[in-house]
Amino acid sequence: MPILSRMLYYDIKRRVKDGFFIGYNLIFPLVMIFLLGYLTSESYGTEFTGYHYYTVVMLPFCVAMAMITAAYAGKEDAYRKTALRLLFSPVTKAQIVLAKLLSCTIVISLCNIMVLSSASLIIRLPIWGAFFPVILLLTIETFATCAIGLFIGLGMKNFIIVKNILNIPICAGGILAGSFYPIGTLNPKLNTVLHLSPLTWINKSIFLYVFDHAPSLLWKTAGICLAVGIIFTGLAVKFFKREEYSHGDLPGFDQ
Amino acid sequence: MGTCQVLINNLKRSWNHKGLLIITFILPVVLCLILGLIPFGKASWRIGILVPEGAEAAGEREALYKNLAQLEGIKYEEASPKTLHTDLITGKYHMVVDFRHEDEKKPFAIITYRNEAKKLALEESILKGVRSKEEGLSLTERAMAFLQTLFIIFSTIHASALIRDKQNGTLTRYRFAKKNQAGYHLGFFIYTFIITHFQLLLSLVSLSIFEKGFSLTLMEALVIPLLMTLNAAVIALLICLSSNSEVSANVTSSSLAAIMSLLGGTFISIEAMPPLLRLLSALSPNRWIVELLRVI
Amino acid sequence: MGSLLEVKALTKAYDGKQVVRGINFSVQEGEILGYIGPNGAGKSTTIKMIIDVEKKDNGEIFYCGEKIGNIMKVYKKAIGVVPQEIAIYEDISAYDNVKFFCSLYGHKGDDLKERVKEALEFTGLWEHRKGLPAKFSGGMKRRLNIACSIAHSPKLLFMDEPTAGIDPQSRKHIMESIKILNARGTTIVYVSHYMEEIEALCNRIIIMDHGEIIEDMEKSQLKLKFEKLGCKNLEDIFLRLTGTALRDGEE
Repeated sequence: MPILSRMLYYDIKRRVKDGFFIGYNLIFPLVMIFLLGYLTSESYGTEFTGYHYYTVVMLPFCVAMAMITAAYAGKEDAYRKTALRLLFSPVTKAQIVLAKLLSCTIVISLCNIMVLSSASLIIRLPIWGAFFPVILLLTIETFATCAIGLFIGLGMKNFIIVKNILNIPICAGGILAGSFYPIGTLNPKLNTVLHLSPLTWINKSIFLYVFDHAPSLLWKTAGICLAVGIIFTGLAVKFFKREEYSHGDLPGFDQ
Repeated sequence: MGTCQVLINNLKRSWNHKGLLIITFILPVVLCLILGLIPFGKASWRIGILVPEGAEAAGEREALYKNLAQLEGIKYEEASPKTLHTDLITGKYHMVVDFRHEDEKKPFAIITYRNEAKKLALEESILKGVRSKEEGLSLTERAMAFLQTLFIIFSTIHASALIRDKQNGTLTRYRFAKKNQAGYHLGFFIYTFIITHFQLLLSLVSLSIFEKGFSLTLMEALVIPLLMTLNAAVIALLICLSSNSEVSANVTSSSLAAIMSLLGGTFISIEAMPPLLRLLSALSPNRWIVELLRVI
Repeated sequence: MGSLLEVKALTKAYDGKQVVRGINFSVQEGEILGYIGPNGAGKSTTIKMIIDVEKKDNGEIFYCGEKIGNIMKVYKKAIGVVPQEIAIYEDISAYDNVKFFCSLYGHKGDDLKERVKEALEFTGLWEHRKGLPAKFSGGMKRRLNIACSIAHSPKLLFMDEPTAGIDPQSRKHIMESIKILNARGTTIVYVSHYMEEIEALCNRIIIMDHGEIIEDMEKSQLKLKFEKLGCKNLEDIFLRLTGTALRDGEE
């Protein structure tokens, strides 16, 4: 436990110092919320505005994109050549995975809290009654996406191929979930396609909680995300390969 | 000569990463086919209706459905009061019409988060039973704008080898032999252009085969893909030149492509944008493509 | 003095190619063992298997008579490794680097601070403890690389090319430090391509080639054996045993 907490402390320190990591999880969502909110300001009325909509949908999307940064965080030690040091020290692979996972989850969740509270204050999103459940869902989503990202970064042999195209399915999932523009349909088949994106469920559960006061989907979604996160954490530990983890000379790998 | 060698070398390098090459060829086609399923720009109102409940109101409901069935350009279904606001916000319904009111003059109330103008237009549609005037992009226009977005991301994946070369020192090595690095960058640009163009053409052929509503004239097929590739390759190269790492280049390209796509009217019609953004949308390559399609 | 480490019938193959072929050797407590061989000989793979970074195919490794698999935690706390690559975080201070890696061995509080200070002083970096390694010279980074490996006071220290690519001043400092470490009781396994370093530091030398140990004896005995064959120094002996043909594509 002291070793894990020590590793976690240094990992958090590195995440906080990483300008790109913070910029992407703090500045980017705010910019997108205000840009897209402004872009759609003429489409909405006064009671519910585009700013409200994008505050809710942009955070889950940015959290999903954090899968990429988590995958890179998994490879960070290999790139810096410090992976070898961790491997020959009395540190278990579970400690390595958990330190990375928790550091990413904690820092991104803090960024989410800051974005959600500042956006809510500025644009008066009526979220205060649901603030804690929404943040909890986003934190669990962060945990799940980081676990998947780490599984990719630590456990997959063809990381080089995956890392380049990871943003494509995430963006596609974002489009289907209405992260860029609400996509509605009354066609049952198309509705099924839209619900293939996990982001659709997350966005829907937040809207239901905040605007329809229906909490059940949010808790179910959070439960499923938690299960997915735990499964992928287990997989990341199980498929953790010492040789791959210390392999910092991957052609084309960079932090 | 140096540029040509950089180009050939890069083609060989990409050939050595066959897995990535195959995936980047297949993925746009798959995404385009999924895109074809999404009902962008259909000129119809999606309406949720709230009807009187109970057995005694059965006749009233039947009469209402009969009337609604006669309206053109309107799709409707019974809405659930429990998910009303979420369905409106997520765009399932443009509006919900509440027929539970018992006002003789106006037998329904409209619930919507849209602006007043849209609310009035719908009210008029329902009362007169006319088709919605809301205009959108055609499937071809939307698909081309979407492909432009997608290929900015893919071009960046190909061009990002430049960042590796900067870090590995091969770019410096090139400068030992050649005086400036512009030739190296040009080689990368041509390589990115060729690969992207080939992929784009493949996607267009697949779309023409599998998507019924997608069609391009010969002139459009000759000119527009070239312009799209040029846009994608230039933006990709600029992103890679200004990025320190591959991850930042990839994420920047996705974000930039998403913003350009939104500004260019892929999702939101330009007419619905605030005046300032309408001006800014002229900077989006997505809009150039849509406008060009209309001109040709 | 007894065997600190014993390697028995160790083998490893990659894609069917045997890179380590059932080697046996031991490391005696208190010695500096020189471990040399041409590129692709199997040295790095052997060391990686010994430090448990790579899985072995067959064979056993014993530490103080016990299989390392049975006493992994104790074993890992007892060893230190100076990797060939500079394995440090360039964006945290030198002090934080040593502190972090030392804390992984369970040290904390004042004990941890004391160890960090000692390691940084030992490598001549105490004055630069607040500096970021990104701004350090090559020699300073190499010394920090060593400081990170010795702060937890390992009994057995593996050093893989610790002086690669640095200036003569830093090299001299490192060489002297190694001698002091050994005098304080640390057993050292030293891997290098610099024959003069091996000659100056080591008591015993193992030469490996094609995955096998081709020579394992005391330095003085080795020199005596090959003196008769016209070898003036260790480099002559090395070239005589491993040949002068280039070892392309064997890494």
